[in-house]
Amino acid sequence: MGASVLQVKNLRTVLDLATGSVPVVDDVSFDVGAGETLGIVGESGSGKSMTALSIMQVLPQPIGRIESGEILLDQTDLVGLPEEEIAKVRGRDIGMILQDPHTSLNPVFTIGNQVIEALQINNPGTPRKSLLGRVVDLLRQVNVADAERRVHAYPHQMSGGMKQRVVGAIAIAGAPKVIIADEPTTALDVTIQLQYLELLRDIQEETGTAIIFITHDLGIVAKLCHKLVVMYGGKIVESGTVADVFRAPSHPYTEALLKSVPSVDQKVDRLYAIDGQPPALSVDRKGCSFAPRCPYVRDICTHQVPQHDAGLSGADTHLAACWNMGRDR
Amino acid sequence: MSPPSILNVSGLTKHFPIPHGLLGRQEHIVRAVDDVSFSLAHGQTLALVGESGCGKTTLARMLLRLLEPTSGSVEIEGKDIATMSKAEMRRFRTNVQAVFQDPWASLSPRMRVFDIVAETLVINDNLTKGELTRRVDEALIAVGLRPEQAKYYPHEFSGGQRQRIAIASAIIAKPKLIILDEPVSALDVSIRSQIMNLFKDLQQDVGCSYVVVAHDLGTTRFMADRIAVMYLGKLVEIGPTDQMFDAPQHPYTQALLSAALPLRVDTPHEAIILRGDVPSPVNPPTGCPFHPRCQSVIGDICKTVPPRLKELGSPDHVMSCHIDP
Repeated sequence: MGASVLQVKNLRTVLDLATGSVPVVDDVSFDVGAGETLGIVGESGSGKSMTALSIMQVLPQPIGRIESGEILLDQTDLVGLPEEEIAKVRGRDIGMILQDPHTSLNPVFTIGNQVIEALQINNPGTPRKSLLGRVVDLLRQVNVADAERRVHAYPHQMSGGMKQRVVGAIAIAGAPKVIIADEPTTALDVTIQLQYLELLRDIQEETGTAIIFITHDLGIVAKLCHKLVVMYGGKIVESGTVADVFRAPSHPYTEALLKSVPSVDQKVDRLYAIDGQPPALSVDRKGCSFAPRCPYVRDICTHQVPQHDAGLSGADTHLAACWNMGRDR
Repeated sequence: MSPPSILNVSGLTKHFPIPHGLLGRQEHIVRAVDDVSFSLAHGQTLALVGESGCGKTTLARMLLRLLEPTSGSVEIEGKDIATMSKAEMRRFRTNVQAVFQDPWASLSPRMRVFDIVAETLVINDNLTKGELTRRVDEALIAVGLRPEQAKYYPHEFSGGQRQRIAIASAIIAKPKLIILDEPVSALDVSIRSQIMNLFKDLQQDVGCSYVVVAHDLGTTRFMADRIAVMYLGKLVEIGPTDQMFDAPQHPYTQALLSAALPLRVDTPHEAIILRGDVPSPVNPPTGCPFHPRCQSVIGDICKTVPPRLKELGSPDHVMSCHIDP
């Protein structure tokens, strides 16, 4: 694994609502290297998708904005770049795969046309016809069977899994350094999900691209990712290598998440359940956002924000933000 | 003798004609559900699993009589639901309830929680206002809500709470069978386990049976006593949950269950990766519908002869495959 390709430092993104500026991404830092896959895990409202939208700078307008922090792509800060510069980064340096393949593709253009459009970002002015061979290659690379014929197909003629492969072909058309995949398999069947994860891994092995995989499914993280960050209420509560975090989950939220997912390995009579609900967006928050649901909550948790400290595995890459680190739980 | 069953399904088939050709004069037939038979004992849970398009939701809709079958029958406690009288149908509508996937779509935004939950009783029983309130309070408490929340509208609740409201309205009439169609997949991970525990508790308290349609295999393993695997409208294997997960027999069941991603990093996850997508149900493959994707094809017989269901050791566990068990 190479040096960091994408580095996010102390990112803070807010939504300007009538009630005030609500932080949706709060002091988030991580990095991902060439050939490396980072999982971002969280529930709805945890800020995982907002983090992705911040990197691509396609936040909901006019209310969303990056308030502070850096997003370094190969040491160049993307924050504050003019829109023309950012537009060049999208698709060329950073590719994106979204959750729903049925809405990511334009229904009135053939898939060949849509892949060509992505190729033209890198080869402006090249006649479309001459790119057709490259399109077929790309479709083969994402395992679209019968690619020569399929370039002329429309999205509605394909299954969900096939469409998501085409979205993948568009994402890798510009040979990006980073691919951001936001829940790309949630709309797919489990058997097709598995094919897709293998495909992403193959693409990564061939091209050495870095992947940021956003998901709520810890099983996918265990299968695909090298390291992960766990987000809750807009903040990272735990980060580390997948092996360290799974063996020694250190934040009570991570621990609870891992315990509450029903196992496919064995039958249990009762699931571990976290009481309450994920936090709503709010302007002023005090203390740890998990405190209202935390079984180990103490006085300090409700009024002071915990810092990122070493996690239970002891590795210096394994961090957790909890006041109870090292205490008996 | 085996315990009496709440539900008996035999030879259940649903074909959807789709217009085709000039002026739609020709018809193609989608065999959404094709000759499916099974039974479910009182107080037990059966899970229907399979890829999208395998017919599991169509089957569930026929169990609720929201769709009329092309052929075959559904019996609730020995009574065929297709030939029920009006009075019997009313009783059926209280005895068999459903909880659907999306708690944003399944609750009327213009009704208060009280009216949503009480609706089944208002339509079917003549209760006094006081008795009705008592029953609604009881149902809300059973699903972990507070009686005073009955006066609010659905939009004032979170997704998990809405699903609790949907469950309260399903259980208030003390049904014998509840059809759960992807009951937790729209919910956040940390909320899912709360709701799944609730289903189990209710089953223990009330003794109701469940038919659960779910694509998440962890959910299935937790909820179900028995699992029925469907492929292109056909039942390919049905058996006790533990046997199905620990020693699946049909090649499709093996592949499907191996696609579940376990939460562990110490031992590698070995999976059978299926080639290609599910074929079109309009024009299913000849012979065994699974043969184009099957990793264990034994010869031409798979391509030409449709396999029949056969017992694997006990009548409790059957599959349709040419391979000798």
